[in-house]
Amino acid sequence: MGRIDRRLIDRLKIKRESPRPPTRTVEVWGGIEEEIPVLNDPTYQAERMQYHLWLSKQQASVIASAITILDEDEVDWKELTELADLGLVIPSPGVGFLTYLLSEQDRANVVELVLYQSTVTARGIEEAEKAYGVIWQERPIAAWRVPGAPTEFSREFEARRVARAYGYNWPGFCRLTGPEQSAEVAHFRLSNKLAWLEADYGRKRT
Amino acid sequence: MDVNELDLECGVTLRLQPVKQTIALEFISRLGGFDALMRGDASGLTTGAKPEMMDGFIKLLNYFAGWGVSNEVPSEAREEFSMFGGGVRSTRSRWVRDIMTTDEVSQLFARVMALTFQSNDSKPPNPKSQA
Repeated sequence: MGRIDRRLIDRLKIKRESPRPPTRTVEVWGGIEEEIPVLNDPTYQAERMQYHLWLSKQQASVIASAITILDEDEVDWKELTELADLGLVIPSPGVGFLTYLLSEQDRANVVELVLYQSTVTARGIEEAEKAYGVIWQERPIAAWRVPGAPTEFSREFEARRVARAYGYNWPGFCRLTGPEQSAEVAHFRLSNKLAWLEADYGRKRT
Repeated sequence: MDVNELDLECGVTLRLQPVKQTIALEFISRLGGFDALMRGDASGLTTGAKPEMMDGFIKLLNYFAGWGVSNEVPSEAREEFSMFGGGVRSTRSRWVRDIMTTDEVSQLFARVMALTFQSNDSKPPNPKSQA
């Protein structure tokens, strides 16, 4: 199991927007009207299913390039031929193997491992935080809550911010392994948190 | 009644098993989603069904009959269907469709769907895998 360029993963997320449910107007209180999403709308459900199938195929085509099958003889390639005869479009044996031959759990494990090795992941961040072992007042710093800024951003924005702060250019940051990228992001997050806690501690003492 | 078995009028008992959720969803999506599947009568043989929907039903039925059934095809049937070519599952699909009534097709749909979407193997991947 190898790794892929994280930019391929980032690109997946912006190719196509996920469908939005229709809304209906309801009176909530005191004559005020509010739009609420109709999540069980059949057309929305069908579009959502198509979107997720599309996303899973896109994901498979990206992930498949990181996989080498060592025991080719162990794979039932005939089943893939039969599935193609049935009408499934199988762009390559690797994508077919990943999409149609693996069990759901095995596929999830493969995707998880390739992502872990290629980009910033929750697992990578958790491992780095443990390895740094930063303690604040006898508790791991990750356990402390600090006020957040009223802002939202994508994972890619955060990673690019970290890359700039730590002197990488973007292609250079993308060349790092997933755990290395995660370690830099974890370092950035912990440092910011520590800076806030130290400043707050200083304010309270004066 | 064992949910994993389906007794047919012809005397054969089919042993049912879950199929891959991704593949089932792909065929269900082609025929317009779960709602269309439920509305359209599981056999897909109702009059007025759109051709693409019929095609979707037939593909899903072929998949359920070939992959959602684990019986070995009797040797005489295997010989009979060998002229069509294809592998073990395609042959099983032809045999199962050949021996079923329309009502039994609906039951096969319902049972294999239930087995597939209730099995542990069909849980979606953890979306939290990426931070």
